[in-house]
Amino acid sequence: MSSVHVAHQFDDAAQQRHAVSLGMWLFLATEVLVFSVLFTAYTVARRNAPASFAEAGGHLYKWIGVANAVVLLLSSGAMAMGVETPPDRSRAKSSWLLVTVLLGLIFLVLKGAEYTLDIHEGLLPGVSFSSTRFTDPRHAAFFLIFYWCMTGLHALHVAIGICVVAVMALLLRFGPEPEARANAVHATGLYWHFVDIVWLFLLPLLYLNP
Amino acid sequence: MPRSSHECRAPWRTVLSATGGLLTLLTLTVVLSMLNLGPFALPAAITIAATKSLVVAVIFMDLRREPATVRLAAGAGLLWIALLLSGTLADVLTR
Repeated sequence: MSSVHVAHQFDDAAQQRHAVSLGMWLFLATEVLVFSVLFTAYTVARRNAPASFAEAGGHLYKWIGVANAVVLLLSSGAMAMGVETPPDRSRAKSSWLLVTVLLGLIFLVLKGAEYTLDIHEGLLPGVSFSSTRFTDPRHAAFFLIFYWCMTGLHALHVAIGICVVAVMALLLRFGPEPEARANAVHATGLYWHFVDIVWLFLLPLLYLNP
Repeated sequence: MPRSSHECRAPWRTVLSATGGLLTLLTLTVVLSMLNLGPFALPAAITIAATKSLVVAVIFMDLRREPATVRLAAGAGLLWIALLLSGTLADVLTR
């Protein structure tokens, strides 16, 4: 069986894993700070103009949002399988991570297609905005600015996640001591699942129940 | 108590069940959004989203087996959202 390399500052492997988990969860708490500001601002803005937000949200491509939710949930499942796979089966572990990367890329492709359609339909305030399509263009633009900022920040996180997971998959497959990377894979998985959770809230707020 | 990294992992059957459950909850979210639930539509959708997040955190992120310090760090994020939302809405809703 494989043995986990324990860095000199830790007493044992369990303490080392605990430190990895704690550090990653603290980092994710700071990520929550970033997104929660946007969610709170959105809540207040929506309360001030509910009808305009609902009308503007109705113009979004709901089914692309739903498809992306399916893709991200499946990617989280693949990531969890990668973490679950024992460290001595590094090739299988790497394969699950590559599936996660593939699903992440599908998410970004769908999002890119959606953004292109949005721009063609005049849903990008300041650049390509069809004010005549809305009864209250000012608040519709406000909703759309939230839409672009929130989904854009989320897409950036997905892109970063794809890079990190891809590097981890390659290190597991071609790097030295793949068995020793279980904690790194665990930490990467935590980040990926967090990105998934953010989308679970963006979907109803922006696409399904705007 | 200290545990080995092997003990911290959820069995793959659990992962598959959780993925199936999450997809079912997503279907429920979509179906409910098509019904005319009026003022209950968003609270229902957010409640389901919170349930899905709990499943992801507890099973995929292995929070159920993490020690108290890690759960505390995870709770810090939730506490921040609760403070920010309640403080802001306390002002906005009482103007």
